[in-house]
Amino acid sequence: MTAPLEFTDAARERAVEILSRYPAEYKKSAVVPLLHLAQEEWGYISPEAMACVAGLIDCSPVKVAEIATFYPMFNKEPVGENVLAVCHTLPCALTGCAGIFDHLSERLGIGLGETTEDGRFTLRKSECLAACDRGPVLLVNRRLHTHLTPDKVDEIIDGLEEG
Amino acid sequence: MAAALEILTADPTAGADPGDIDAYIAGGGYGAVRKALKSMSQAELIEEINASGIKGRGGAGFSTGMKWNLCADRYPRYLCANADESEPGSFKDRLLLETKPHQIVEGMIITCYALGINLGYIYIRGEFFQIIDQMEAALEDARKHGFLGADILDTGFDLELYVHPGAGAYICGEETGLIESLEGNRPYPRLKPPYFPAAIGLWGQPTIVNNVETMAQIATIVDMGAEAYKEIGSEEDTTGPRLFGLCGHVKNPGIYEYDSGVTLRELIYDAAGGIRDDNRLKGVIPGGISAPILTPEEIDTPMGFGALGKLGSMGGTGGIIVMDETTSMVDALLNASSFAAHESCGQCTPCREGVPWMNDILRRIQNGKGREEDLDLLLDICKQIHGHTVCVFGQAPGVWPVRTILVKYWPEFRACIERKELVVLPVDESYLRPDQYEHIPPLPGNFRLKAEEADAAG
Amino acid sequence: MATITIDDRQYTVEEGRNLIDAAADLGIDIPHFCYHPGLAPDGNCRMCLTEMEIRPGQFGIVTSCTIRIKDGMNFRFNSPAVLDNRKGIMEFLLINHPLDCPWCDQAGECKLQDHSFDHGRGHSRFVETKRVPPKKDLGPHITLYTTRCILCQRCTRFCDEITGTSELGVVQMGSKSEIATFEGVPLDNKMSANVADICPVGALVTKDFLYKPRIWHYEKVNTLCPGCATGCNTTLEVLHQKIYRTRPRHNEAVNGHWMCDEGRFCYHDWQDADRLQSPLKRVDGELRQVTWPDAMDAAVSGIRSVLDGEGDSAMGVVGSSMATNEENYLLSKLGKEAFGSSTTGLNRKPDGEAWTSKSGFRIAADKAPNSRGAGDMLGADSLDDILRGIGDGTIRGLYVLGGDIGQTLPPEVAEAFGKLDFLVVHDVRLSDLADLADVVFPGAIPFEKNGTMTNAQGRVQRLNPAFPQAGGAREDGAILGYVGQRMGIEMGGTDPAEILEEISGRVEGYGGLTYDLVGDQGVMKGGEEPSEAAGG
Repeated sequence: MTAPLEFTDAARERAVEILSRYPAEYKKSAVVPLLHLAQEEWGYISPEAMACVAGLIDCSPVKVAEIATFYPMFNKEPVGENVLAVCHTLPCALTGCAGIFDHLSERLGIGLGETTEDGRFTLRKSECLAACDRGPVLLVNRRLHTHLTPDKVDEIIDGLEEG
Repeated sequence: MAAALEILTADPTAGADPGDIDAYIAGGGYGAVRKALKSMSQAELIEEINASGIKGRGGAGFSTGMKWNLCADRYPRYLCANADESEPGSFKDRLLLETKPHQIVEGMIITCYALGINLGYIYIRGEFFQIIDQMEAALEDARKHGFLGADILDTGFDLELYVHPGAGAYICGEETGLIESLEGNRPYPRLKPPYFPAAIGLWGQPTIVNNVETMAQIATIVDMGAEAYKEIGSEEDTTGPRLFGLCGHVKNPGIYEYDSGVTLRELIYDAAGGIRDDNRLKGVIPGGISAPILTPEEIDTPMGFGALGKLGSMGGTGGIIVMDETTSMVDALLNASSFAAHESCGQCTPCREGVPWMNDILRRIQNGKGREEDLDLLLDICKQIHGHTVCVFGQAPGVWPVRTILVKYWPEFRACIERKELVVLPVDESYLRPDQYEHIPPLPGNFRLKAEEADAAG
Repeated sequence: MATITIDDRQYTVEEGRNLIDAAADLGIDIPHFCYHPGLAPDGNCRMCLTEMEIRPGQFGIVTSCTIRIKDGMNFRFNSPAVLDNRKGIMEFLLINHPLDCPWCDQAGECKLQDHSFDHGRGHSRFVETKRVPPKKDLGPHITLYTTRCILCQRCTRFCDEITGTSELGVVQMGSKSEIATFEGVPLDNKMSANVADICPVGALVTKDFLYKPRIWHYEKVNTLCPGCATGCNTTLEVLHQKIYRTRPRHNEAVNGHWMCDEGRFCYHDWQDADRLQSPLKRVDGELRQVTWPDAMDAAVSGIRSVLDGEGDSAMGVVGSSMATNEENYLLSKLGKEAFGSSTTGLNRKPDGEAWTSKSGFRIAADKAPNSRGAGDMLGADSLDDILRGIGDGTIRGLYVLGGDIGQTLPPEVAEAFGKLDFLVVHDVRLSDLADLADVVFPGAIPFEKNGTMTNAQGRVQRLNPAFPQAGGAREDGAILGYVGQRMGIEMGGTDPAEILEEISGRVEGYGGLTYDLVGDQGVMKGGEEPSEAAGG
C-alpha cells in the first residue's frame, strides 16, 4: 500500500472546509477540489497524494486515481515552477498561437510537455480557455495573458525569470 | 442594422470592482432577489419564467421554463449552475462571470427559491482561477448581506451556494457529465433515459442544471418582468437579449449584445467591424465549434435558434468563429477534430474510437498523405458515430464539424488529396453552393453531398 | 407478463425484464459486450442498440441493456439502422485491437471473435497506427493484456458492485483510458478471478489458465465445487483426465454467476495429491499394500470378529462431509443392516472463515461440501455418540469414510480411534486417519464422484465426475456395496441414481427426489424455499 502524504495543518483546515460544502454522506464529491488543494501543496498528484485524498473521502485509492488521471489540470509528474499553457484551439489558432508556442519553445529550449533543466518552466498546450476574443492567450500558472505577441511573451518570461 | 442592446452588458457597479457587493446593491443589485422572495410565490415565479419565453443559454436552446416544469416532485432538489464554459469559440460566460458575479448569484437564489432548492453549486471550470476566487468572495459577501444562509430576508427560505471547481475537462459541460463530476466520479455522461437530471440528478435527486448566463438572465427577467422581457427577440428564436461573441478574423473581436433577430452579416461586418485586412470571408461557425459551419452565401441568416436550425446549423453558445480567405479548411477541421479527440471522455465505443480515428485521417490529409477513399471513409465514420453515443458529445464536436466542413468545403479537401499537399483554394472555388449539399433534419450537422455533386466529385 | 413486438412478430415475455435477457429467453441473441446479467447495466459498448417505437410510427435507437420490458413495446432488431450500428461498433472495437487471436487465451470463447464473424466487415479500413499499451500484472491471479481491452468496464463494476473491494478503476481519459489498479493495492480479493470469466475479450486472463490448450479441446463437466458448503455450481474443463480450469456455472439460487478464488483453484490440490495406489492392510503393526480381495477379506473378517466378540452394537459408522449423499446413505445402511448398529457419526472439519460479499455471495465457514447431506443420511452431525461409545467401551470397531485431503484428526479423536479393536477407512491419501486404520480402501476424490450433495441451504445438487478414479482407487459406493454383499446383506444397486430413489423413500426431506428432478440447477430438499438466495 502506498503511504499517504499528510497535509500541513493549514491545508488540512482548508480540506475540512472543502468537505463541509457537501453533504456528509457524499464526501467523494470533494475529490476534485481536494486534488486541487493537493496540487497546490505538492505541485503534482503523486500516488501518495492520491492516497491522502482517498483517506479524506473514504474511498478506494484507485477511485481517486481515476479522477486525478482524467482531468488535464492535474499534473501526473513534477512540473516546473511556472507552467505555461498556450491555448491552441481554433480561435487562437486563427490568431497565430502556433507562432507564440514556437517562440516560447525556442526561447526556453524545450518542447511540448517538457520542463527546462533549471526547473523554472514547463511548456504545454491548452484547449480553449474561453478568451477567444483576446487571442492568442497564454495561461501562466493562475494568470491569463491575452493578445500575445512574441515581444509580449518575452516580457512575461523576463518578468518570471527575474521574479 | 439591428439595435445593439445594453442589458447584460450594462455595468451594474458603475465602474467599481465587479465583485463589490455594496456598489452592486447601490446600483439596484439584489433587487430581483428582494422582489422575488418578498413579493412573489414560487408558482408565480415559475409562471414568470415560463411566460418570459427564455431558452437556455448553454447551447442546446432548450426552454428554461419547460426544464423547470419537468423537475420531479421530490425533495431535496439541487441546483447546478453550469459555468464550465469550454466550447471553443465561446467566451460569453467568462465575460459574465468576470463582470456580473452577483447577478449570477441573484439568478441562482431566485431559481432555488422558485423550485424549493436549499443547496446549489456553481460549477466553474478549473482554469478560471481568478473567476473562482471572485465568485467565492461574492458568495461570502452575499452570505454576509443575508442573501444566503438561513432565513433569507426573513422569508424562512434557507439556501447555501458553493463554488465547485472543474479541472479542465470539456465533457463536464454536458449536464450529466457535470453531475457525475460533482459527485466525484469520472465525468461520464449518463444514459438518458432514465437519467434526466430533472428526474434523477445529483445524488439521485431532481436537479436543475442551468447555464450561468441563463442564471443571470433569470435575474433580468424578474427585474424587467416577463412582459417586457419577451418583447425582446421572438419565441421561436428565443426571447431576451443574446450575447454574441465574435472571434477569429474580425477586426474587433468581443461580445456584442443583440436580440436574436440580428443577422450574422450584421454581427461580422457592422458590430465587429468586418474581416481583418478587409479580406474575404471564407466560413463562419455561428455558435461554438460544434455549430455547423456557414459559407459566405449563408450569412444573411438571423441568429435565432430557430433560424439557424433551418440551415442545419444551430445557435449554440453564440460564440462566432470567423475565418477569412487565408484559412485552410483542412487545418481548421483538423483543429476542431483534435479538440474533440482530446476531449472525448472515453466512456462509449463510437466516440472513444471513432473520433480519434477521424483525427488521424485528417492529420494524414493535412500532411499530404490523404487517400482517394479517405473523404468517404470520414463520412462513413461520422455515420457510424452519429446517434449511437451515450451523450451528444460524439456528434456535437465529434461529428458535426467533420460532416459539415468536409461536405461544404469538399473541393478544398479534394484538392489536398489530389495534390498531396495542404492547399488553400481561392474562396469562390473552395466551397460548394447550397444547392450542392443537403441537410437531413431534425438534428443539425447532418449534411450530405447531393448525388450529382458526389458524381461530379468522383 | 407482457406482449411485445419484435420485427413484426408478437411475443409474450416477462414484464420488467431487460430487453437483452427477455430476448435471450426467446432464443434471440442481441449482441452485447458491456452488459452482464450479474451486473448493473452500463450502456457503454453501444453494441446492443436496437430500435424501439418511441411515438406511434416513429422508431428511435435505444440500449437494449437498459430497456425494461413493458406491455406493448415494439422493437426492430434487424433494421438497417440496427445492423449498420453493429457493423460500426465492431469496426471501432477492432481498429485498436491486436489480431493475436491465434495465441490469445480467449480464442474460441471471445465475444469479439463471435460478433466479428456475425457482424463484422471482413476487412479493415484502418491504416493508422494501433495503440499498444503494455500488459499489466493486476494481482495474484490476474494479468491484463491492455491492448485487447475494449473498456466495457465489467471488471470495474464487478469489484464495485459484487465484492465491494473497488481495486480496479479506469485511468487516463478518452482513447488513452485503461483499466488499472492503484500502486500497492493489487486486485486481490476472495473472488478476483471472476473478472477473467466476465471479460468478454482476452484482456483479463487468469495466470492459471495462461498458454493452456485451446478451449475447444476440453470436455466440459458440470459439477459442484468441493471447497465449502455453499456448493457453487461449476463447469470443469478437462483434457486427458486432467482439469485445466474451473469456472462458475450460473445458478441464481446458489452462487449467481460467481465462485471464490479458493474454490476455483482448489482442483490443483486434489489433482496433485499423493493418492493411495492400492488398498492397505495392517500387518505386524505396519500398513502394507495388498490386493483388493486381500483387503476385502481382511475388512470383512475384522468386522465379523468385532461383531462376533462384542455384539451387534460394537461396530459404528462414521460418514464424511466429502462424500456424496448416496455414499453416506450406503454407509448408514451398511451400519444398520450389516452391523446392526445405530451408532453413527460425522467427522466434520473444524470451521474456517465465513465471508459474505457486498452483493451477498457467501463463502461458508464449513469447508466441506456435504456436511448437511451427510448428516441427513447418517442422522448425526458430529462424532459425539461415537466418541462416547468408544469411551464407554460399547464401540470396539469403526467403519469410517475419510476422503479429505486437507483434514487432520484432532488429538482426542485420534486417541479414541487408536483404542479401537478394528478400524476400516476409505481415504484418498495416507492421512493421519488412514494411518490409524487396520484396512484402508483407496476411495475417490470429489472430482471423480457421481452423486448428489446437499449444500448449507439444503439444496440437493448433482456432482459429476471429471475423470475416472486415479491409480488404484474405486468408487466409494462400489466398495461399500461389495462390503455389504460380503457381509451377506442386500445393498441394492450402487448406481447413484438408483440409490437416490431409495433415499427418496427413506430419508426425511428427500421424498420424491430423482436425478432428473435435481437436474443441473439442484432442488431444495423438502421443497423448502431458500430463506435467501446466496448468489449475489
